[in-house]
Amino acid sequence: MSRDVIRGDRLARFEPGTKRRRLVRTPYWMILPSLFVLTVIVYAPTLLTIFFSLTGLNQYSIGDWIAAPFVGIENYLAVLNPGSVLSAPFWNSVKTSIGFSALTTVIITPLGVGAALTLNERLFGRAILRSVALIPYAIPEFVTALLWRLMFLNGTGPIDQILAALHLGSKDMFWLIGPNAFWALVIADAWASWPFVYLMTLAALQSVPPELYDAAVVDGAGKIKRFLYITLPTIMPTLSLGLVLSTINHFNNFTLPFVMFGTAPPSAANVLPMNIYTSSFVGFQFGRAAAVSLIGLLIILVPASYYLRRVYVASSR
Amino acid sequence: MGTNVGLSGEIDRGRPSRRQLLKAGGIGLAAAAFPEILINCGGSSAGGKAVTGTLSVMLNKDDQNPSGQAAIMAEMKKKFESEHPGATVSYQLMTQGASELKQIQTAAASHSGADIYALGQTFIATAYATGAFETLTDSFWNSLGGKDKFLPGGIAVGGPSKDKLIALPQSLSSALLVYNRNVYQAAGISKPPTTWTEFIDIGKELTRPSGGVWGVAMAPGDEIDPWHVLWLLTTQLGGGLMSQDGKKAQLDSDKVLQAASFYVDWMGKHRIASPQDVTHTEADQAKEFIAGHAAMYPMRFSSAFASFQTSAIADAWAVAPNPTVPYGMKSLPKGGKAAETFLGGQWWGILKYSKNKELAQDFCKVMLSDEIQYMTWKNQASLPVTNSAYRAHPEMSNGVWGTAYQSALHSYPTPFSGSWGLLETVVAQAVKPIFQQIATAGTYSPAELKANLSKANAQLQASMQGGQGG
Repeated sequence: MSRDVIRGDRLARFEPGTKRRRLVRTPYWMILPSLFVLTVIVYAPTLLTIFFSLTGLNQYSIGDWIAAPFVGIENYLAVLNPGSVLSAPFWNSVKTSIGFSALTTVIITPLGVGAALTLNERLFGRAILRSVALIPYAIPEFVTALLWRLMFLNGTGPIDQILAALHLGSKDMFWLIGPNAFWALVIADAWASWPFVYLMTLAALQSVPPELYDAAVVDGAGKIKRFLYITLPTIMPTLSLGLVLSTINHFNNFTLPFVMFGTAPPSAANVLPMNIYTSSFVGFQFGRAAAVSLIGLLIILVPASYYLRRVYVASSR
Repeated sequence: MGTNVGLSGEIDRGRPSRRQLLKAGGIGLAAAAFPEILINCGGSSAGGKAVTGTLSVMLNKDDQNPSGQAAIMAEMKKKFESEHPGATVSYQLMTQGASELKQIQTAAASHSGADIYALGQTFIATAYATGAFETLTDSFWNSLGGKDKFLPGGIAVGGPSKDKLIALPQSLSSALLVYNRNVYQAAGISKPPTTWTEFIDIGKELTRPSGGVWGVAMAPGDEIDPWHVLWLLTTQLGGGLMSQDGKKAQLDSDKVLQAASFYVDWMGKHRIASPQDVTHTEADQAKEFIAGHAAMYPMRFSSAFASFQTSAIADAWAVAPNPTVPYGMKSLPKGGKAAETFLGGQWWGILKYSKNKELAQDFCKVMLSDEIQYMTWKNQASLPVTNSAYRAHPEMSNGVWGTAYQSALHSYPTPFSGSWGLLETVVAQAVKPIFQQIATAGTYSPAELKANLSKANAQLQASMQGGQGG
């Protein structure tokens, strides 16, 4: 019997039972610190969440959470079963979260790419403009949320004032309650997150070899063709990763809706993280909140698996 | 004098015996080896006080009167530390509400935390449910002067029954109707309403939308205000938002629907409140009243007195008990209660896992002293909790404070339920969309209000089933 092991960047063949077998174990010992960190940060919390999701952990059992009553998949059924009273708010939150994250990504993509293409050109004051573009991204999220809450205040907020002055709306748009709350959330999040796409795209643009453009110009390609056939294919891997990460961030965004709307949020802005928060810290249904968190994790795994696959493909090239 | 009592009670006659010397030597060795033993056990001074240790106290931040609160904290610390040489007090402040709940939950889950926690009225039941707080024994109460020392309402909400109290009142607050006396007089109205029918009539008379003046300021955007008003109206109708034992949600009952319809009708039908109020919170409500944009409102708690006293309407504001007779009726219906208020305020709970319970008990005594209670009234506009404080400072039960005090004496407790926090949220979720309809369309769908309340009820009941009721 023999087996293949990787030592450094070489594939080496070792026969079992030889003295050299000890060498094989060394890399495993070396990954122990990272394994420990991953266990503390990722594996243990995940396992605990799975455990909680199978229990009826609530305010009565939190003092002795290990002994919380085991309820099997009851928490999952409570939210997934269409006949359950808790299912409607859950599915509303899922739909709101998916709609919110998809729409925000769709909005920020042209904004970020457009800004990156513009600021990749030689412009007067380019360095300043590049810095200014990062401001929304650099502002702490709760500050962004407070800022937009003030902007969207009914009647007195600048948004209502401007819309009324331009005859595009009334002074009573009620952005922070009712159906408009969804749009308020999308606008605020788009403003805060477009620089991320801009940053990723700008970084990718720096790596496009200039000789490709020179050759295309010689071949008579115009600006649009150069963008479609050179720029876009080159930046696409980075851009798509950026968009996937951005979608995941939108989906998991808690601070923005929490600060903008508080609890209880309007139904139109009751995204999944808010639903989980309300279940946990208002309703004290920690078991059910854990189940909803895990369902949310499964949903987010769809774009995340795409992201991980891209990373895997890129690293194996 | 001149005689000391040793560790095991032997009388010291001036010359130590061999046994005492051996014991002292043993203790000395133990102290050298395990200094923590002495720290945790405290000393054994002549007074028998635990003289060492740091008492950790977690209080809710008073955003309205931060400097006033700081002065009270400093005074309590000074007083306590002078009475307990070697002991110190360390304060932490938390935001009332969500942060408070998280602190309680963390303490319960980790079996550690501060020694004393401030608890808002509706969170006492939650704290009780976690089992993380000490049940206050008769000897504890007796050491403070007995339960009779306190205003009865403050004691009643401290636990599910008199023998299972976990919370000690620190300051109280009652809900009242605040009104602008000058506006009333200008309209020829001589007295505040005692029935909700009069409330609506006066509101209509004082409403002048063209002048930006409304009869009533509302706060449907607030997380807490909707259930406050709904609780008051429902109780007067003879119903309840949940059963008194805290085991059954009743938000889908006819009485709650009747109360909720009347509440939203202030804006939707009677037009005595501005549609702009739809996003308002309690702070906005007070602001509108102070600015003269509203003539009256059922204020959440008397702690708002502080902001009125220093405002432009300092000479014009007055308070009265909330009306108690339901709308369209001349007297209370069968089963209806003349509920003017329930008691809000701050209570203290001692963490079961505290290693400084004796110090905590002594600190409670400091907090309950007439001097500190007076400071709390003066600096934070809160009602004192002890009868002796009122006797020592009669001004605390005169004028507007007299009304608040009387109201506190006639308070009704809310059901003692660990699910009350969720009730607050689902009630807000049920009525907010209705107010939004009124603000945007000028009217609302009663069927939708009923459906929203049914949905809220089902959500609440589902969570209550997971617990142990009250």
